[in-house]
Amino acid sequence: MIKQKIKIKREINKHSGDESSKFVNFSDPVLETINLNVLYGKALAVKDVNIQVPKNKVVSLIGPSGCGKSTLIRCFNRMNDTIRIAQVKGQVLYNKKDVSDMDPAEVRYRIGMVFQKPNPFPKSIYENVAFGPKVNGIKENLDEIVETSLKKADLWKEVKDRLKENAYGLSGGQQQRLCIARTLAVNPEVILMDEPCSALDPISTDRIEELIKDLAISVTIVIVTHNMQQAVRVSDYAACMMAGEERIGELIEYGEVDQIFGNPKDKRTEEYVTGRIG
Amino acid sequence: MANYHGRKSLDLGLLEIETKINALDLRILEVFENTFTSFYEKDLEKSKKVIENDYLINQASLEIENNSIDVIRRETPLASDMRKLTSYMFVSQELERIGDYLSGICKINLKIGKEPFITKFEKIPKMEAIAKNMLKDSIKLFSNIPDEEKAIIAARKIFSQDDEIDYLNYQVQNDLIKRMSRNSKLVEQGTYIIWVAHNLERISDRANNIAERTIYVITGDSGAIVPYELEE
Repeated sequence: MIKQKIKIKREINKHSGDESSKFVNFSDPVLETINLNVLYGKALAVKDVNIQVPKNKVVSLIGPSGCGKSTLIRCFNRMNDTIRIAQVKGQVLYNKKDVSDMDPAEVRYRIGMVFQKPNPFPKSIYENVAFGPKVNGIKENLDEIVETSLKKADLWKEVKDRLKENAYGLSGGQQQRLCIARTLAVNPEVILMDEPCSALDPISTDRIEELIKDLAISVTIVIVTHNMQQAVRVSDYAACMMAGEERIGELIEYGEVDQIFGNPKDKRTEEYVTGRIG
Repeated sequence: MANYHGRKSLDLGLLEIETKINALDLRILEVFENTFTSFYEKDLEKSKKVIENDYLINQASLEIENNSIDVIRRETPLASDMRKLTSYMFVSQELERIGDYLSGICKINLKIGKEPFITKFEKIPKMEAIAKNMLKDSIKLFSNIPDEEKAIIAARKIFSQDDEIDYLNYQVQNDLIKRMSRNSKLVEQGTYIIWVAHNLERISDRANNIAERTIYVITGDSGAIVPYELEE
């Protein structure tokens, strides 16, 4: 007769209590923080963050409001330099180079940023995209750069006949894609996105999400989002941050997106992704 | 600072479905009892009632499925909430199938009717006891999910009974086929009794599935428990 035996593959409590398994590591990250601490005045906002961002992947930063996601993402391209009371301690490495040793302008065109609210310049659509290359001294092939950037941002077909018009005439979703095109025009290796869809309608959100997936073939993307389903849809990895009673943000778990949203190892991550804390 | 606020609407939705599963569990165990008392005692009226009332199990199962889909649609659950909801649908279907197997045994009872049994029933009551235990234990495990360690111990206990019921089923088939080949008058009832044994074996498989699903709810790993080693 045929007897069917059953075994249980899983070792009991394989993950519980194992802190190291809560944080994924990469051998050749494009971005990395080492013991990163950020203070606003005397108040510690982000504590001891160690995170590695792999090349050409999408990493989402999730966590309740005030847990330090935006503070962390702004460290990657030295945007916190613009806040007078902000102090960044520890290291932020871009391709193994400490960003604090690099020219801030260079850091920001290598590591571009897209914000929550679309913020085009009060200029023509063309000038918005050409602005970065011009500042970097590029005078030739501007038309080609503008066209390629707008195509990459999935905006070309909609604006090719109105490039001289003011960017403010575009819809919110189009303005956000214009901001992405503007970032792409200087050929960044990384794009940071701080809640890029929170001010957009569902259709515009869908287009940005498709764009993120397409761009990730050649660009690394770090995205802050409060939309769990969006994080699941667009990211390869997710990092969960949390602030305790003292309002100090910490990275509590970092792993593949399916694991973070499907079977998180840290109870706080589970409570956050299931919507029980926020 | 993170604040705990819970998810009242989602938690209420989960609780409502759990209550319905518990009610379905109780109904199935009651139908199990009624099926076998009616079978051994040749209480054909009781068997008819089980068959007639099978639609209530189907309805309850469908309701659990619809409620689960509704909560998924409304609450967009993630992680363990999502696993629970998909498992509610899965387990309600398993219970519905168990209801069908029991109803099938009652239909066999009606077919045999008042004709005396051709067997003394030694192995089938053993199979019945094992299947009932497996079912009770798996229902209990799924309704009151303990921590991973305890759940795996409980699941192992359920799986460990599976070989025995398989072996008893094989013996029932073997004995009756031998007797039927010697005496063709036994063929009709003998075949019916083989079906009773087969249905009990299938019920134990469904109980296994419920225990497996419980482990999935806890671990999130559908491959955490796998069948292995098919041996002669």
